[in-house]
Amino acid sequence: MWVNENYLEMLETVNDHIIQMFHVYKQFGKKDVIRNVTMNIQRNEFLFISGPSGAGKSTMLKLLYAGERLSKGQIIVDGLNIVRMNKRNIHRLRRRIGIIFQDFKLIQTRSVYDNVALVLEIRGLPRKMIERKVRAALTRVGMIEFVSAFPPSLSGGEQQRVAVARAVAAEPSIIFADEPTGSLDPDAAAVILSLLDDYHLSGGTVLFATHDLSLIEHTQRRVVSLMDGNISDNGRPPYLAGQRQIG
Amino acid sequence: MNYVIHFFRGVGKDFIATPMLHTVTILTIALSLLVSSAFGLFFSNINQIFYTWKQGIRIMAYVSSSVENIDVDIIKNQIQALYGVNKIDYISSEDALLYMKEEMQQAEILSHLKENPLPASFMIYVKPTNNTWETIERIATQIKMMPEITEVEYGKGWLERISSFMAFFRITCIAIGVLLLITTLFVISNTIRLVFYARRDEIDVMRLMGATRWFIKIPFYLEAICQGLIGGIIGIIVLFGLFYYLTIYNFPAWTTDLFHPHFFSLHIIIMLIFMSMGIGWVGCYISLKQFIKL
Repeated sequence: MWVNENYLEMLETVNDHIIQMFHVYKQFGKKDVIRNVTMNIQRNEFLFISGPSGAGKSTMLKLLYAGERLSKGQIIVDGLNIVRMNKRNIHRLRRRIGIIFQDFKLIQTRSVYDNVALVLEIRGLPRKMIERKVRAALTRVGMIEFVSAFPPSLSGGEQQRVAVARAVAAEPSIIFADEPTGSLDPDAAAVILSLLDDYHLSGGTVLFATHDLSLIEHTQRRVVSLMDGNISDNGRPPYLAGQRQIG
Repeated sequence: MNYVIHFFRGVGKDFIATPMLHTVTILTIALSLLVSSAFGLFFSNINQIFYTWKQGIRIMAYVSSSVENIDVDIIKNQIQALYGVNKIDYISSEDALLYMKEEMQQAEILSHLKENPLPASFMIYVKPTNNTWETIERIATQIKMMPEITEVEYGKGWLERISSFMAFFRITCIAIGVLLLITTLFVISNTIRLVFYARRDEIDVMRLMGATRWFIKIPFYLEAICQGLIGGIIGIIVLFGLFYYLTIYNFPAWTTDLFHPHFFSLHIIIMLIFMSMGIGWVGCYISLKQFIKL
């Protein structure tokens, strides 16, 4: 009987990891943006994905939350095989995850409360529960006093804290953070990092894509470095070689 | 239930956020419904006049002057036996002259006549249930074939002209209605498209947060149906106002024994409002079919 090697490899690891990527490729036209990436991420892991601009960090995250379809390979996120998932079912994956973007992606015409409440309305929760969870999430990120404010009246750091509140409000199993500190000053970036740390300590898994070396040079967490769409070192990136690695 | 509350809140918020866009759409729907319903109402009233007039149509069968002594009862029985005949009156030539004298203003002219030129005739009434163009024509042809009858009149020319006018008017009404329907659909689908573009970022965010396609689509459909409902109600109210102003308030003389101007019945009003909501739904469907391919 013919058995796909990738499938056997997948079976070996399927129960230990929340995310599994097997020989993943992504092409835009003829260009390989992601090349033969195989990687596992453990449940409750805080993983940094680093690399220069254009290395494929954002594309990798997009593949993981099905923002882009992969060209080849297999991806399993929290038990869901993304390749087999059709467009109508993507919401099943998206409801298990939280996403944070560099440009916040808050709805400018909705209040802070409504922005955070949206993810819970999408899940069909009752209004009382939505109110309780929104207030808890905003308190957690220190934005409860801005509950009625609108995003344009907030600073970048404040908007990103609201985005973190929105990502954690529905208590997802994984958070994908795509350059969440990219447009923030160092103090605001430190706040966002500590908020994601809190989420991680409460049992969540975080994938944090960044090109900011200052955020990762002293970290004790696993760092995966991408270079030209490939993992250059499944651990510490070359520029941090020699430092201790955990994970 | 939680979703329903969310959807209706969303629609309310959107109406408040873009009032101008929604007002224009509602007014367009109201105007389209007003114009097409006005044609429909006019047609319905004209049709009533035509129907009343048709009810009064009689066939006049003139007895040949060469026939000296006719047996009125035999001819009456022969005509009565024809399908669709309701009642027959016999008018002798003397009665016809008498009637003419009563009707004419200068009746003394008739007193100079040496002999009565008017023929005897039968006035035939057709049963209201059989009062169709074909029945009248068939009865007239059958009567004309009787040897005692020389001529048959039943307003053929008028009936044909009015029938063809009504047919033309009906087609015009339908054509105008269809044109207005297409225009309204175009306006609604464009409005939905504009709202969709205005909320594109929001929709992208919703998709990233795990919204299903129906979670995104339903508020648009609700919005279009609400626009149809409000536009429909406004259109009907304005039409009723105009109808009341023209027929009851301003020109009460239009109401006669033969013709009572009438407005749409309640079930037609409800049907028109549902139609208006349906137009909203279809307009939205056309727009979203093009844009939301999630």
